[in-house]
Amino acid sequence: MTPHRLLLISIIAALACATAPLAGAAEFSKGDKVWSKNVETALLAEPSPLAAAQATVGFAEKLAVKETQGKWLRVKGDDAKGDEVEGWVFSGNVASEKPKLPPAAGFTTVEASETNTVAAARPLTPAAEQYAQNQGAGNAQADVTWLDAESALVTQQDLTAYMVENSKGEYQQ
Amino acid sequence: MKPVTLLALLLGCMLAQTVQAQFPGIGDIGSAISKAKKTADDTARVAKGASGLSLEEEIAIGDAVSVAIVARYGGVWRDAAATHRVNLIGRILAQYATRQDLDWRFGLLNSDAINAFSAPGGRVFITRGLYQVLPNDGELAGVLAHEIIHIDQRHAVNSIANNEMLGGFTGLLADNSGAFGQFAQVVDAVADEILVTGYDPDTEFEADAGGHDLADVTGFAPGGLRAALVLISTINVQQQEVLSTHPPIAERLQRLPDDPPP
Repeated sequence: MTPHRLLLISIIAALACATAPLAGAAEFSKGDKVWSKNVETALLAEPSPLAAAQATVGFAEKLAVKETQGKWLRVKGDDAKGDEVEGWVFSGNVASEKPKLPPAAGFTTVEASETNTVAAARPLTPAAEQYAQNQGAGNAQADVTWLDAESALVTQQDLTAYMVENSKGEYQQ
Repeated sequence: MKPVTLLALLLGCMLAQTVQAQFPGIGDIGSAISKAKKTADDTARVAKGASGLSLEEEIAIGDAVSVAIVARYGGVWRDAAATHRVNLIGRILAQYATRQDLDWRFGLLNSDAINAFSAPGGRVFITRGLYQVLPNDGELAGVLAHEIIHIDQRHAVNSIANNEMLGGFTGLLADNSGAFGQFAQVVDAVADEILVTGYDPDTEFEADAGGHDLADVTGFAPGGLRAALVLISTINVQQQEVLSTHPPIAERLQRLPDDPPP
């Protein structure tokens, strides 16, 4: 390989790395491919969180961006039955790379409304508890347990209320 | 042959030798079959370690690393209102991270130091010292988004997987009492990287860029992290530990877009 060719390949590789999409990337363009990242993603009739859902797609479904409007994307893809579906989705609800694992119900906090919130927090794993015990870190373990209980007190309703009030996420003006 | 496959085979051979060394007296057929099965299982785990930990392993390590972080940083600051606020802002941001497989949790460390950390599995910590210098939600979101990207991009997990010795250990974690020492060794190594040596500068710059974009798509001011760093740069470094595990603030500011403060 000639030095010039090597240099050219290096430059192309460097550019490819520099432009590699990051998680949470803010901007997508028409023609991009994106992936759904929640168990169920609604494709809406209009670019608004209050619009009706005209279809849903499952986890890690590939979608083609047909149009953009601010942070909203009009996408086209296939639903679980293989039927072609289309609609609007907030860009924060899709990923620029295929997600590896679905939202894991076994590891997530149970809805606070369903049960006692303190009991709802996923406890430390047994391995971590044993680690704390072996390290004589009982106070730290108790602190993390307190933190987990406090975290569980913040509900999805709290998040939505903040987002609506402060124009965040799908609720941006 | 793919490099990952080759690495897995190599690690598998090393592991097989380790297992043989640990069980020299095994001679009967049943034990031999059991041993072969264990080797095969462990080889598969090591292969997984070379390409990434399982979610269960990541969470187990992350939980224990969180205990280590809290123990080394003065415990948790048990301020319910402040804890509610960091969880509110943090979880709003995390809704738009790529990884929705995690149960994201945010906490405050009872320390005057100016720093923030993330543990594998979705736990983010910010010191009381840093929390108290951030004037509004925009700056706080900038800092939290940076830490979320470390987890979203599996920076600590990849660091474990890239370390051949630790990758082999994690494939064996906590499957029996004898392996617990190895699990603790991985936890201590990860905690040291997070709390003492820090990630390499390129990894930090990646978290800055990704955090900037995550805050932006969520609707927080994209200049939040920049404003936080400018504020932090004015703090008297003689009195407090300031972002000791991160690259120099001037370098970070140079690379971040010149967005206005929130």
